[in-house]
Amino acid sequence: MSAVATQLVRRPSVVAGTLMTAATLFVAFAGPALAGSPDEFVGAPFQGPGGDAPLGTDVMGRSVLARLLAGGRDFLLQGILAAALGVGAGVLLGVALASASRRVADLVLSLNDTVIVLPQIVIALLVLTRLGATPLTLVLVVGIVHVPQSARVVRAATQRVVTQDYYDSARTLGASRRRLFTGEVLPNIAGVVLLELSIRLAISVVVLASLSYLGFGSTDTQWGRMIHENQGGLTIQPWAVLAPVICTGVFLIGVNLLRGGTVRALAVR
Amino acid sequence: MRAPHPRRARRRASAARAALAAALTLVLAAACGGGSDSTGPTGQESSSGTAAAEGGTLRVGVPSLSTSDSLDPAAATTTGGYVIARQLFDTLVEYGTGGQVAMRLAESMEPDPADASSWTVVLRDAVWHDGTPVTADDVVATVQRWFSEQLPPASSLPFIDPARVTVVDEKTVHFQLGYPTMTFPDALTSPTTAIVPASFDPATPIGSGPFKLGAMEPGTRVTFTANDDYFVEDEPYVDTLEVISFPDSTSEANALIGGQIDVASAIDPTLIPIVESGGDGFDVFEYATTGTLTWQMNVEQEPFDDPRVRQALRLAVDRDQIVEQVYAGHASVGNDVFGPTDPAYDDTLAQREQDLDKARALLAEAGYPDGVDVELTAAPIQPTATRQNEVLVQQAAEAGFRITFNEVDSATYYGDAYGTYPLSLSFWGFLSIFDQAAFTIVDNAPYNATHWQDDEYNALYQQAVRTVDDAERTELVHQMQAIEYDRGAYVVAVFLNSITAHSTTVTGFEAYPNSDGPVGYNFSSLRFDG
Amino acid sequence: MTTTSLRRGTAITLALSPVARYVLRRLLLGVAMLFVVSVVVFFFTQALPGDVARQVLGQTATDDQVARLREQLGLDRGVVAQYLDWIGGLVTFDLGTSLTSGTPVADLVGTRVANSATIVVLTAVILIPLAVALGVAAARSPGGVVDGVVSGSVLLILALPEFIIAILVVVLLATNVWRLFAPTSILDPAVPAWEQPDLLVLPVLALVIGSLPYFTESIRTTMTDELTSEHVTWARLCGVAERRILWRHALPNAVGPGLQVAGTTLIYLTGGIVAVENVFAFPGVGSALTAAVANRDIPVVQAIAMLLATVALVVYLVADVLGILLTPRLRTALT
Repeated sequence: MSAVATQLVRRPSVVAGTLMTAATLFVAFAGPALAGSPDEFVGAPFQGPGGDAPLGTDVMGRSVLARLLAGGRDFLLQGILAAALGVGAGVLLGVALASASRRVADLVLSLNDTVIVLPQIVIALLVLTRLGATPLTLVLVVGIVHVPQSARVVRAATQRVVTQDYYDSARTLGASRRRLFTGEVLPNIAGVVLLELSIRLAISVVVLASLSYLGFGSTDTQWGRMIHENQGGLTIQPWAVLAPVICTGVFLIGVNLLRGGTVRALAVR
Repeated sequence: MRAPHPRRARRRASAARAALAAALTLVLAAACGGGSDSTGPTGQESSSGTAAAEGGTLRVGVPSLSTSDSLDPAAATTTGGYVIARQLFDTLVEYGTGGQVAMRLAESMEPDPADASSWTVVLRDAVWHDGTPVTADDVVATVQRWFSEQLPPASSLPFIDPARVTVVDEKTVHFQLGYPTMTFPDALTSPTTAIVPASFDPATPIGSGPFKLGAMEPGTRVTFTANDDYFVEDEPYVDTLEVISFPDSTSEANALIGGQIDVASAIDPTLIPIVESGGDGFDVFEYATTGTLTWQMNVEQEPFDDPRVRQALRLAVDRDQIVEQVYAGHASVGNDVFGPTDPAYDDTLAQREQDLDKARALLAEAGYPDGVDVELTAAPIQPTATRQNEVLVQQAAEAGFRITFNEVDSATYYGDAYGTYPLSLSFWGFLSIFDQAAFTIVDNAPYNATHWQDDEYNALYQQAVRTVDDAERTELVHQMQAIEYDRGAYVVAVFLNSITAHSTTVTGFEAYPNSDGPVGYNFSSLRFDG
Repeated sequence: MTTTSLRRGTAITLALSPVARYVLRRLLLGVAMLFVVSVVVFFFTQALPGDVARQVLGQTATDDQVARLREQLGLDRGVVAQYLDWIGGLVTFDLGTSLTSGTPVADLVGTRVANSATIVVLTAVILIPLAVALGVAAARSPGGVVDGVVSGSVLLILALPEFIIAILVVVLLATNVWRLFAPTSILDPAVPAWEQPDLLVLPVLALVIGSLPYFTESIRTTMTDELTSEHVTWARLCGVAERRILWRHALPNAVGPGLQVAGTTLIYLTGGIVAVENVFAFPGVGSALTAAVANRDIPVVQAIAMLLATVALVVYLVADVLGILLTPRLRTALT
């Protein structure tokens, strides 16, 4: 493993990615303590930077900076939890599907595929209309929506592994199921899982922002909600929209760089 | 996205006061100054005779049409249904450019001079879209139709007895009412009371209005063609009118700047600078209206069963701050009573200002020295509704109200739980004071989500609607408003402006402060200039 | 499907190749899945709060009137009876009647489905070749110029929600910077969408930009996996030319996963255009869906849900079948 660690540290993309991710996480998690009141009115709506509002004011004349600092933690947490929930369940299901007996796999697979063909946006709209958009329902809806897709991708990757010669030879040599899983399958699907995780994280954040845009966001101060409530003013006070977009963007770019570098480091090994 | 429901709640104005042209009117006129084109309250037909280019296709953006939009005015419950009703049909009377009752299809509408127990309506010379004349028989048939079981209930026209509406001559109808009331003309301003031919078929809607129906794509766009025989000279000016639906103000403003529409109605006040940033080709027509997003305090539940708590919340609200922060200045403050364009509106009541010390003291007096928890339930029924609620949560917190804001969608909001919320926000206005009371305040008012009841108020109301003398009636209305002001259950914090962005090539805009929609949906007076 | 055709189907299967048998089995499975989906969709939509009868009649309605309308609409009957009615209609391609407008659902959503299908297909036609070309090019020379540009732009775009891309596209190309294209897609309902291409440019552009990164990334990863796999390494060691390795060894095995990704992307496009349609005021299936949910027009919600589910089912079926046909290893695994 130390060889992998060395490979990782040597890659500029991994270093840059770590820095960007860490910086955003710091802003998001330390922000609420640093921020002034995110609800205080400091000027007229959609004023440019200056005075009490270094990044200008939002649609109601509150400080964009204060809201930016206050609104990252819950938003990122929701995205991270949703992605972890979705991919975690997806990996378990996907690997199980690829290694289960044919009959069981067929049954679960058709159930899984049934869930996949359910239009996710419809389910999200119906569930959120029924239960209301709270942090919990949002995480569950967005996370569960990932499961069948992740399971499918993981299963495809696992299947590719089990049809490879080295897997065949390992099995012929009498390796145990567990050994096959940890020794052959996991390392070979790790890239796909990481790819999936980072992509699902990106999608979670994007879906949360989009749901917020469609009016299905939770009502507390959050980057997603900031984008939503200020998007009309993009041309007159761009910072109100761009500040949360940039923060979300830096986080996602960081995660993606980290993932890209890691995938390549693993590939080199 | 604007929900249809608040409009439905305003259907069928039923109220009194006919040809009274009293003085106390234009409280709002002062607030009108914010508009970039403030057009004075001139007569509706003042535009005729000006040298304007005739013809063309006028494209008007609205938020939002719906598949529920009805071609039958009596069944209209949505924005789109009202837009359609105003183009295809005429009501007998309407709220004109000053917010007062003005004649439309009627030439005159007079009460029995003794006690307003009967009303006589004389029609002007008008023809249906098929060329046949509008007659008293059609009016009688329309009134009887309102009470048909197939249509939504006409429960807000309680004083009309369909069996005692009679034809006097070809142009004259006599209404013998169930009980005397001066609210009769107000009741007939609503687009749902538009007059239709005796042979009316909603599938091929024929009316007397300025436009005929062209094509209809439900929820997306409705096209109208000019009615060349319309009774207002020169109107409509354009040949074709297209009403196009947008999901929000932003896309509507974009379409305007991109030249895809000529008029963008109901623009979010914070987006006005965007239209201005679009260049010289665009302008904003703005005027104050009687429309208001009003908080409703439920007196059947704690804590608002105590009038001191209700007064405390009213004192906790900083109305100027709402106007500045939520509406960017494009609104006017309210004083916890409705109907600022009504001639009987009492503008001598002291303007209520935020007083946190007094609010806290009242709360303590009512038994909540450590503050009180309240749940606010509301839907995004207007672009500014959520923002207004967020500001309330914040302002009220300073007075000791710990408000939890529960946002639901409008179908849920107006569902079975409506009327059970401790605190809620609804959209009201575009009514006379009597109509507003009949709908939301008096005994048995159908939409009274506050459940507030006051015997003294009810008695004053019953007396006032039967009082023919203007001065006497005004005095009674003042007493009603004083009671609402002192112990009522509504927080009327702001009155909204009607904000219409448009290409400078379009002219003919006029203010209709007591009518719903941009220029009261009177698109027939709009025209292309030069 | 009738029993006779089922029986005939089985008879034919016996005589058919394993691949055909697989396809038939998937088709039958698909029908079964649609039934499961229909149950889920039906009961999800029934669970929505609020009542359409009250919606249509308004607040003034008396309880009697609400009850009468509920009876007219068939809402007073048991849920199971309503479901059987609905599913019976679906089987005969009757989508029911919109509760709010009283018109057949098919008439109401037909144009919108065609509109959305137009931009999804246009997007796919542009997206798929572009993403495959970029993904393969990036995988072939890791660290090269294409790889760098792809990685960079992918990183940037993946970090922007689609509706932000849509809004930026409007600001840049339609309103504030240049006024090259129409900012909103207010299609003339009398003319098919594809005859109004000027109104489709921006939504398609936003969708292509928005979905390019996921697709390109996936193709690149799959290709990288293949190009670094043992059999390719063996081929390299045996001196096989790079071009031949790409076309004969790597690409064929990457087709299966690639098709999976293409399928996923297509479904994502179908479901994910809701926000983009909103930005452009595009009269599509997404805006019809949100409006129908808001109005509690249950038959319309159900019809759109079933339609999207059917499309997804067909796309995945095609992706899987093509994947099996085109991937040597999987093809032989069936026999």
